[in-house]
Amino acid sequence: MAVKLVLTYYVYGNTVSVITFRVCRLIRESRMTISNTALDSQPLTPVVFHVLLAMEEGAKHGYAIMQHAEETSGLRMGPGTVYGAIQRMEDGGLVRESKEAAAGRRKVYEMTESGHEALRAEASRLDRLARLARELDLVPEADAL
Amino acid sequence: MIHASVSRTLYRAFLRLYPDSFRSRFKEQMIEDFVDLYQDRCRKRGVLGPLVAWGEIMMDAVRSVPEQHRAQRMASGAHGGSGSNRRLDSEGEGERMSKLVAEVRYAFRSLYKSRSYAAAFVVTLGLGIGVNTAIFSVINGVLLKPLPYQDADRLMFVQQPANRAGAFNASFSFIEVDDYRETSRTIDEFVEFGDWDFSVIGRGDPHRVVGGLVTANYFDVLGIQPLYGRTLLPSDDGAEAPPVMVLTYDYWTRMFGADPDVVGQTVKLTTKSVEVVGVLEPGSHYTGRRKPDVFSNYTTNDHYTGAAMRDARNHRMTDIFARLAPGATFETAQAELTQINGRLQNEFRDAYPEVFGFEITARPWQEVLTESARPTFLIMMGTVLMVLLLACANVANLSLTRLIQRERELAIRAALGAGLKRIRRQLFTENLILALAGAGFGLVVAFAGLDLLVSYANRFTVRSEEIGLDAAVLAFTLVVGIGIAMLLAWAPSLPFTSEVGMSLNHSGGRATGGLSRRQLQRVLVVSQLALSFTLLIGAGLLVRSLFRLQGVDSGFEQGTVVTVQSPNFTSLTAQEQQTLFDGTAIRMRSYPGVQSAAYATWAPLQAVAPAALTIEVEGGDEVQASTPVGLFNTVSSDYFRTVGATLLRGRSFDRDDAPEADSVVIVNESLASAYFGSENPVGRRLRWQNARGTWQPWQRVVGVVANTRDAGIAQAGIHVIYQATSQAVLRRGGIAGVTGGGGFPANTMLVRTTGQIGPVVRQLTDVIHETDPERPVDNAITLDELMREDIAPQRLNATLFSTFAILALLVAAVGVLGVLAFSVTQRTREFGVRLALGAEEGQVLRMVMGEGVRLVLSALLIGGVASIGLSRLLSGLLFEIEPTDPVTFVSVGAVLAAVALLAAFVPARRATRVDPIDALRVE
Repeated sequence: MAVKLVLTYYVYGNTVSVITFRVCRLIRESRMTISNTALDSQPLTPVVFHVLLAMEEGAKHGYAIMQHAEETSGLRMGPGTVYGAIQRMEDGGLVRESKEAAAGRRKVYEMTESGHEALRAEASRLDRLARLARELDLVPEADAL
Repeated sequence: MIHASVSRTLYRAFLRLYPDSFRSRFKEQMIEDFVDLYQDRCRKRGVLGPLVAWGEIMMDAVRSVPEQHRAQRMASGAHGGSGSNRRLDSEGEGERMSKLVAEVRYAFRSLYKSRSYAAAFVVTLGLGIGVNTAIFSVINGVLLKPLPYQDADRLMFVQQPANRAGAFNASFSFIEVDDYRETSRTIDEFVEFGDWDFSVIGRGDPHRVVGGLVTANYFDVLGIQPLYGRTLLPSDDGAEAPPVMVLTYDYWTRMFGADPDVVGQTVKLTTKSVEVVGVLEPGSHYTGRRKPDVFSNYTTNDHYTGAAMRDARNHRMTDIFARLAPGATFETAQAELTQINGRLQNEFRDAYPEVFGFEITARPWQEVLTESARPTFLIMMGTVLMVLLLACANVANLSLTRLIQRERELAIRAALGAGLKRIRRQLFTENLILALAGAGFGLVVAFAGLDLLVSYANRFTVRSEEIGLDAAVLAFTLVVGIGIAMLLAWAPSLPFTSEVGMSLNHSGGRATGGLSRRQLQRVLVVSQLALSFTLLIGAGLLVRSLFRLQGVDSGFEQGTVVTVQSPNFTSLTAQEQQTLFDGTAIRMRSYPGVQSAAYATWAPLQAVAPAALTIEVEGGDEVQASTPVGLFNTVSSDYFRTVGATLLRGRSFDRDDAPEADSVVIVNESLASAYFGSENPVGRRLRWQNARGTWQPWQRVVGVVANTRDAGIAQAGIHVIYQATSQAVLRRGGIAGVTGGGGFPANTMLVRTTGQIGPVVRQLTDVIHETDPERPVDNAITLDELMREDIAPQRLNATLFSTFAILALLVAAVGVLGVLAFSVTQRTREFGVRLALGAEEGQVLRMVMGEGVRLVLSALLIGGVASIGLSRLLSGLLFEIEPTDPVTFVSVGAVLAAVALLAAFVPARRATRVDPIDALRVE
């Protein structure tokens, strides 16, 4: 049995992994495109949305953003993910390093005006989706409140 | 948190996986966030915290590292115009990543090709790391971790040893505690603690609980909080206070099913109705050698409120925990207490007889609590460190061998342009993979062995529950793993750097791997053999001690003897108790299979507190100057028959030995020969001094029994005086019951049976409960089990040591085999030529074996010298064996030589099988 499995892997594994790799790359590239054009009120990635949502309360450093995401929706993001998003958003003009809050040693980030807009757009998009879901009776009454 | 800073450093290195530009922009923030994350996970997940944190970081990296590299590529494509130029300038970020991936993949492939090498590496290192992690966890949990109390570093245990009387702690009387409390300036709190067994009645079967009789400040000083209700209050301390108690968490869950409503209820504790006022938080509540089930105030116990306890300076039953006052040190406290002690001794000479040699010691509580475990555990740590050292030597040897074998491959790679740095990095990657796998395997070993070790440690310390693999241990393992990988990649100072061309010319077929490297390999093998020799000597000494202990004639006859304890926690008078035990013994005798039944103070091997005993023989010489150690056992008439002790002269006790008749005793052989020499002691009279120095009435000796090991198998030469239970009823009655000269009640029933144990115990319990339903019946155990239990620590030590030593021997033997096999492979051509030129097979065999013999001899020499020094450390664990026992040294040496030479024989034989034609064709 085990031998057969190994053989099968050797014969087909390579082809399968090549296909898997291409599919994954396709998916990733499409995601990247979306997040890079976030300004054009395209849906935001969950990470970007959470980073913006956290900054709605004011300027925050990376760990505070991670905590916020974990507390509000159980989403665990590591430093690499968060700063990857921050880098893209900073380059895209959604967030900037906060000048006034930099009293401490730690760098904090805050939303720009376009960050606000993107967040609002995303929130109302989600709201529309949520309303749609409720109309389709996908959400039990208690949760809907 | 050492492990936090280690993890921080690791993460900083880990960040190199990200593209340079990203790293330079966010590195500092990411590290700070990582530290926050790490500390948060440690707080929330405890021991698992580091694992959880690193798990999240890995997941994070899997997602974000490739993304950043892609983003980097796209950015450089967009801005840089020609990406290829950039790549020429400096190593592209993506390049670095893919190179790393390639390196890892290459390492896996190359390791897969030499699977046995990888397996040997991982298993050896894993065993070394595993046993070290496990033992270090034990050391950390028991010896290093502070006690789980507030101000743990300022808590002391104060003892009053009476050294000349052989008492390591005579404890304190209430009056003495008051004196110290009033006078001392260096100590701000004195906590009193008394150890007392109670019987809990009306809650399930009547059962015994370990009680701690404490002053109310016990809880404040240690910072123990209640889970429900309250702890004791100062108002509970008075002589008029109502009896109250608090339950420990363990006892509460065990006996009361964790029912919070128990607070406020009344529980019958021996003879008193006691209100439960609280339940303590879960945690380790140890106070002495035993863990209490309940803590109560003094009024739960009549004895503690009695006149003797209150007023007599020499009625010493209380232990003292003390907290250092701010600014005081252990030294100043010790000095002050010594001075107060001296003053008290001068003032109250009666209470401090000079022959007892009273002193006072104040030592950190943690030190006192772990002192019996410390020597054994430290020796164990030393042992496993040697195992780790040996494992490292073996691993070094393995990788050296492999390196030489790969010389040709590496040389080709070097010739094709791989720089030294690159090759080193490749080696490092391979070693890192192996070392981390070894560390992982080690953790599995440690986890698997930890339960065993906890039950092992349980025999030496009350802190065994606190042992667990913790983050420090995890970090320790990781550091060892990575350290070894680095060492192995750099230490052999790559042999081929200057020899690349030469190696290629010789196309790998050179006769030897170079003299210095072979030398290094031999040094490694010899040190492995020497280490395992030393370990084997230790194991041999312990095993021989164990055999000696098992061979000791305890004086008791084997067979099924059941013993149970039924303590006198009862309202029966002493007379009634004696009737109860006598009646039980008589009824048990008619039970099927029972040969005899008796009761006594001590079951065999169980006697405690042998103390200095001053005896005078009537008409004999003056009182002996020496005060040998002795003990009392109050026994019923059938005791000697039941335990199978031999009566040498005279008679056992009988019905005529009534309280009003002539007081009689039976002595053991060792006492008889010390005081009566060759004379017959039967019919003579003797007397002794009690603990307060007053002479007791004369007692007539009616018999002599052969020596028995009443206080444990290792305890020889104790003088024993047996008294008759029929004469030992205290005339003043009271609850103490049937006691003798030692003051301990006779409440151990012993039954010799040819039948099953279970039914006998049930029958005993039923018979006792018919007369006294409130009496606990517990600690049922057979004589054989008692003997096994008595030497269990020694057996465990011997087993653990032997396991380690045999492990070490096997690893070393494999080392010998490997090195010689390698040397034979390298010399195939030489042997082929020799054989072709007419060398006898025997000559070739001798050549290889000779190499093995030289290795073994040097190891025996080095290991032997080291052992003579190191085995002395073991002397505390040995029984009737000298640390330099020649039998052990010679036999262990023979075993080692035999195994090593057997290992050498395998490659030696292969050398003789070399086909000259094949050998020459290698070229």
